[in-house]
Amino acid sequence: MERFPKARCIILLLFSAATAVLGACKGVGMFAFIAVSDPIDESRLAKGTSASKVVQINNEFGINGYTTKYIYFSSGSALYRKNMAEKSGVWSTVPLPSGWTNIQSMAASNDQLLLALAKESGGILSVGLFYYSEKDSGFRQVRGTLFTGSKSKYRTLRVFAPNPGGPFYVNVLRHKGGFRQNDAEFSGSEMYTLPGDGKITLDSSGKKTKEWKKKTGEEWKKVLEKRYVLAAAWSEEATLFSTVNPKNISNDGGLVDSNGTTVVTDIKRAVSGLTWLPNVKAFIMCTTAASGGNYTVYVNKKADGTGKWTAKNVSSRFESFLDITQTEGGGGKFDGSTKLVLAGTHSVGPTQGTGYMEIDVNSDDPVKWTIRTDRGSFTFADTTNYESGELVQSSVPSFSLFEDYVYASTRGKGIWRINANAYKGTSSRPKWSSE
Amino acid sequence: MLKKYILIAASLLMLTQGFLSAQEGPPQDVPSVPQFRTNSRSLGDKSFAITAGLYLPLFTVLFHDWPSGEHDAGVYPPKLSPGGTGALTFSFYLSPNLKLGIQLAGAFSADINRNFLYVVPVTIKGSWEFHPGPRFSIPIHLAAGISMNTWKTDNFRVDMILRPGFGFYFDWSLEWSFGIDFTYWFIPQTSLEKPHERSIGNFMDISLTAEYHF
Repeated sequence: MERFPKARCIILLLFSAATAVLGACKGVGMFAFIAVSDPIDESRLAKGTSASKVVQINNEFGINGYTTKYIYFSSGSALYRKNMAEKSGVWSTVPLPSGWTNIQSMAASNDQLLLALAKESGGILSVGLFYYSEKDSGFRQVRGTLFTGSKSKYRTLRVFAPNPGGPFYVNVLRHKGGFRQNDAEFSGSEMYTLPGDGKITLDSSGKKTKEWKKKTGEEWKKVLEKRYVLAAAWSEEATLFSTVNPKNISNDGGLVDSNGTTVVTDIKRAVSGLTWLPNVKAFIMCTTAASGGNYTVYVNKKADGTGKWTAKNVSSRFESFLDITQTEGGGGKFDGSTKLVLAGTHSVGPTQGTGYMEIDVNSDDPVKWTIRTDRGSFTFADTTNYESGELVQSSVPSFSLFEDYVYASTRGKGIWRINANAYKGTSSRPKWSSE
Repeated sequence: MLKKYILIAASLLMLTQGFLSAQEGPPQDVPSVPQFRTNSRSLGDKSFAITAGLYLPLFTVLFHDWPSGEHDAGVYPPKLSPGGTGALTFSFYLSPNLKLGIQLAGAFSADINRNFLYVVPVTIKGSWEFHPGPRFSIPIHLAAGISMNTWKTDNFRVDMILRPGFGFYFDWSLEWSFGIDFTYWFIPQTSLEKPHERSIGNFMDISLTAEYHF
C-alpha cells in the first residue's frame, strides 16, 4: 500500500526535474552555429581592456604630403591612437604628461581631445583638464582647471562634447571620504564649459584660457545640488543632459537642457544612454533602475526634447544607442526595408553583459518600434560571427560610427569593429572583428 | 593497494583451482583443463566503472539552409578541437552476458574561437558482453538518454543522445576489469522555431575504463 505513494512521489520528482532542466534551455542550436562559424581575429589590445567611447577629431594634417587621421580611446591610464587609414593596424599608446597617471574622462570636439587626468601623491588627489591635438603633438593643460583634494574632500571630472563641433561641458563632482570615487561619497557637482567653437585658446604664455566658465545660473545649481551628469546629447537644435542623484536613482533623475532647465517632468527615474539618432531624428534613452523588473526605453521625436516621450518596457538595461539606418547593414539590406538602431546592454556582472540588441525603427511612430531581444532574429551582422565572439557576452557602454565602421567599446572585452557597408554588392552580412 | 588485489586474485585463482581439483578429480589420462572463468558473471552482480579518454568531434549535419543564404544544408566539419571525456557508470547484470546501467558522462572541446563546448549526457546503458576467453570480454553497448550541452555562457540545451560503442576488456581479477572503449556520440539538436539550427552533432570517444565488480 505504501509503495504507490512512493512511486508517485518519484515520478513527480522526476517530472519536476525534467521540467526544470528543459525550462532552463536557452540560446541557440550550438552545433550548427559552431559548424558554420569562422575564426575571429584575436584582439591586439591587452586582455581585459575596458574602453571608452572611440572618438575622432578633425586632425587631418600632412607631413611630407602624407595625411593622417586618427581615432582614439582611453582605458584606465592610457590614451590609445590609431590611424583611420590602417583599419587592421595596431593601436599605439600616447604617453600622458609626466606625473599624470589616470584618465578620468575624455571627449572630442573640432580638432581637440579634452581629457580629465588625475594623479595621487602623498594623500592628495589632483585632477586637471588637458587638451590634446595632433597639430600640437601633445598635451596642454587648461589653466584654472586644476582641482586638488585630500581623501576627505576631493573632486572628479566628467567631460562631455555632445556636439562634435561645439562646446565642451565639464561636470565637476565633489566627493567626501576615501579615493574610491564611488557614489556613496558623492556630495553634489557643478557644471563648467569651455569655448563654444570647441577650440581652447591660449594666451601669449601658451597656458591661459579665459573661456573656462562655471555655469552659475540658479537652474544648474539646483539641478546639480545632489546630482551629476550621466550623459549628454545634441540634436542640432538643443543639447540635453541626463542627470542622476546616485543615492536615489529610482526617483531623482532628470533631463535638463543646456541652461539646466528641466525638460521633462514626468520621468523621475535616472536615465542613461541619452543619444540623438541623427537619421531617425529622435532622442532615445533608457532608465538605469528597474521598475517591476523592467527597464524603460524612452523615445522623443522632438528635437528640443519637449513633449511626449514614448515609453517601452524592456528586460535589459541599455546604456548606449547607435543610429545605423544609413548603413547597408542597418538599412534593411537583408530584412526588407527595416532600419535599425543598435542598443548596447549594461553589465550583468563586472565585465559581463549581453552584447547589443537591435531596435527596428522602421515606423515613423516610435510606439511601433520593436526591440529584438532574440539574437536569432538579428539582421545587422553575420549571426554566427556575433554568437562566436566575446562581444555577445560584453557590456557595451558606447558605440561610434566613422565612415563605414561601427566601433563597440566594451567593459573588459576590448573594442569590436564591423564594416557596416561591407557587403555592398555581395550577399554576405558583415562580420565583427576584435580590435 | 594494487599488490593487495593482485595477491587476492592470485590466491583466489589457486584456491579455486585446487577446490575444483578436489571435487571432481581429473581422469588420469586427460590433461587438466581449468574450469574457472574470471569473467563469469550472473544475475544480481553489479559493477561500477570509471572512464577517462579522448573526445573527438567528427562532423555536423545541417538539415536546412541558413536564411542569410550563406550556409547550405549538408555536412560540415565540426570546427571543434579534440577534447577530453570522462564517465561514471553503475550497472546490474541481468544475465551472464547482459548488463544494464546508468551513466553520467561529460566531455569538453573548444571551438575555433576558443569558446568551450561542454556536453554532459545522462544515459541508460545496456551492454552485451562476449567472453572469448576466461579473462577477456568484448562488450557491445548502447546508451540512450539526454545530453545537457552548454556553449559560452548563455547557451544551454538539453538534447537526446545515442551512444553506440564497443570495447576490449581484460578481466584482471574477479573484481577488476580494465579496458578500452570506442563510443560514437550521436546528438540531434532540434529547434521548433528556427529550422536552420537543426543539426546532428557527431562525435566519438576513445577511453580507458577501470571497472569494479561486486
